[in-house]
Amino acid sequence: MKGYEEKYKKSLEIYKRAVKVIPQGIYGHHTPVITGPLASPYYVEKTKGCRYWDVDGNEYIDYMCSYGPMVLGYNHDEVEEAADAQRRKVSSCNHPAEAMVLLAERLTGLIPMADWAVFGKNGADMTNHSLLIARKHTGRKKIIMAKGAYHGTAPWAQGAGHAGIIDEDTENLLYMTWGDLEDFRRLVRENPDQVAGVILTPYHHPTWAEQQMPPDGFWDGVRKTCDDEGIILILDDIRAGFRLHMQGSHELFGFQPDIACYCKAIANGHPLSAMVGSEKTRISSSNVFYTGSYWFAADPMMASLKTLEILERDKSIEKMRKMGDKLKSGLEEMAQANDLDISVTGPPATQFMTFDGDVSFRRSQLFAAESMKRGVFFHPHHNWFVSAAHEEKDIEESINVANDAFKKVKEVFGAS
Amino acid sequence: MSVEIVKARLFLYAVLHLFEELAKRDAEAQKIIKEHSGVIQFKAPGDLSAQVEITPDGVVATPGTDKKPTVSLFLPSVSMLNNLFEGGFALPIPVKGLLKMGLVMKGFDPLGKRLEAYMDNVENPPGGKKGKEMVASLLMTAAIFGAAQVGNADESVKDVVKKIPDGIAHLEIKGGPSIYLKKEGMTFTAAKGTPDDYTVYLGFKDYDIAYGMFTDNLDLMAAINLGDIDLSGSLAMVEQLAVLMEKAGAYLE
Repeated sequence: MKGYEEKYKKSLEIYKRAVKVIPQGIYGHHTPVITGPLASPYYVEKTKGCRYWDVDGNEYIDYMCSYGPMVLGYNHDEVEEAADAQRRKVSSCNHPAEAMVLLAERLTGLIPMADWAVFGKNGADMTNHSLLIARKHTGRKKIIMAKGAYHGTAPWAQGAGHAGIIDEDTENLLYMTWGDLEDFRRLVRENPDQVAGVILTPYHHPTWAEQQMPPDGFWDGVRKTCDDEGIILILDDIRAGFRLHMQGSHELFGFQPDIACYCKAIANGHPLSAMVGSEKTRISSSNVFYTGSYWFAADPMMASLKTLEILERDKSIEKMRKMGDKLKSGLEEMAQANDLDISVTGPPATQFMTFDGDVSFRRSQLFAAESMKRGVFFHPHHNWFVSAAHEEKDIEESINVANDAFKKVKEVFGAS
Repeated sequence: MSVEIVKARLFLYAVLHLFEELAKRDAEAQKIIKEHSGVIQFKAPGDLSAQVEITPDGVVATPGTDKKPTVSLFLPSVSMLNNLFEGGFALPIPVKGLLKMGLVMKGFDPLGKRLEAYMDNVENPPGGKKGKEMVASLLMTAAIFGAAQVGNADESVKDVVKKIPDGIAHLEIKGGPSIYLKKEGMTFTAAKGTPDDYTVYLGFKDYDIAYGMFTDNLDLMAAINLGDIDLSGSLAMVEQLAVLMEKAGAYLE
C-alpha cells in the first residue's frame, strides 16, 4: 500500500537490516505481510496498559494484545512484581520451583474438569502434546480437526500445501466442518475404532473469515459421540481461554472436554502454556515424554498465578465483555453512518470485523491501515482481542478513529 | 483425470502461450516467424485441441480448432501428445496439410528450440539481462496458465481448489506483461491483460524481482515487506494458488 512509508521510516530501516540476517526479515505471525506491508508498524519500542509505541514513536491503542497474551495490560505492575520476585530467586535451573505445583494446584482447583496439569511455553506445545496423549490413551492413530482451524504450525496442524509439509505428515488427520455435528459423526462412522481424538476450538475462529459460534446441540453431540466411541475430546482454548470464562471457555458453552489447552492470556504475556485433563487421561499423560528447555521456568508461572488472581478479583472477564460490546456497537453504528455493511462476529472480547461480501479483504486492509495511521491497531485478517486494560475512553477514541477509516473505505470502494 | 491428461492440458493450454511471449520479445524468434506463417492445430483424444497461429506480427495460441489450419495434427494418444512436446517418440498423424507440414514445422520446430534455450537455462539464459526478462515473462505466463490447468484437471488438488475463493488473481511486472487467473466455482480461466477488478494483486516492481520470484531465488515475504512486490487483497487466494503453480511447475519439469 502506498503513502504510509514516512510514518514507519525507522521500522523500515531496521527491517532492511533484518532481511540480511533473518529469512523473511520478520517471520511467522508477526510478518507485516498480513498486517499491511509498508502500511503498518514493523517493530515495537515499548508498551504500557492497552497501548504500545513503535520504533518511530507512533502510539497505538492495541486490539491484538500481542495476539492474545496481554489480558490485564502490558507491564502490569502487580504481575511484573510477582514475576520479578520469582526471577530474583530463580527462573530456570535444573529443577522446577514450587511455582509449578502452586500453579497446577490453582488450575485443578479452578477448572472443574481438571484433575492434572502440565506446562510448556507455546500453545502448540500443548496441542502437539495432547495428540500424543490421545494416541497413547486409545491406541489409535487418527485425529479429527476442523477445516480452517489453527492449532499451531507443527506439520500435522498446518496441513497439506504448505512448504515443507509432506503427505505423510497429515495422513492420519481427518477434517470436519466446524459446527457440523453430522460431518463429525460421519468421519467417526467411516473410521470405526480408529479415531484417537478430536481437537476443536470452543467456537470457530479461522483467519480470513467470519467467526462462528457453536450451533445448538453441537457440543452435547460431540461429547456424546466421543463417549460412545472412546474418542478423547481435546479443547484448544488457547485463543479464547481466560477471556470468556474463568473456568475455561467450555463452561460458557456447557460441555466438558477430556483435555483443555491454554496459552495466550494465562500469564499476561509471560511465556507459558498449560494443558489440563480429567482423571481419565492422567496415566496416559504420565506415560508420554514431552518437554522443552524453558518449560519449567518459574517466573512465568508466578506471573500466571497473579494474572489469574487479578482476573477473578477485578472481574476482568465481565469488563472485557462490556468493553467488547461497546466496541462492537460503536463499529456497527459508524459503519452504518458511512453506508458500509460490516459483520462483527465472535464473542465481544475476541471479536472480528469483516466487510460483508468482500472476500478480497481489501476493504479490511485499507480500514486497518487508516486506523493504524490514526493510532489504533486493528488487524485486517485476524480476530481482535480486548483486554481488561481497555477503558471506555480508549474504546471511544477507537470508534472515532474507525469512523475516519470507514470514510476512507467508502471514498475508495464506495458504499456497500 | 490422469497425470497424462493434466500434462497434455498443460502443454496445449499453457505452454503454447509461451510462444506468444517468445515472439513478442525474442529477436531470433521474430526472424523465424517473419519467414514462416501458418496455423498448426493439435488434437488428441478426450476433446483436447489447441492451435497456434504464426504470422510475421506474432504468435497467437488459442484452445480449439476454429481457425483454418495449415497443418492439423492428430495424436492417437494423450501420451503421444505429451511426447511430442517433451521430445519423445510421437507419431502425429497429419489430418490436414500433409504437404505443407514440413514448411510450417520448419517454423515451429526452431521456435520450440528457441523456447527451450530459455526454459532449459533459466539460471543463465541467452541474452544476459534481456534473457532474464524473457525468462521472467515466460515463467509468469507458465505459472498462471499452468495453475489454471492444474486447478481444472488435477484431482489431487481438489481440496486446495475448494479453499480458493471465487475471484481474480492479477499478476503483473510493472512496465511489462500483465496476466490474470479467474476462478468461478471449480473452474479456472487464465488470460493476458488487465482485469477490471481483482481479488488479489501481485505487482512486481521490475523484471529482476519477477525473475527472482519465479526462479525461486527471492525471499518472497521480504520482497513484499520492502515493497518490491505490491500485494493487495486475498492472502488466502495467493497461498492456495501457489500450490497450483508449484504443481504445474512439477508437471513440466
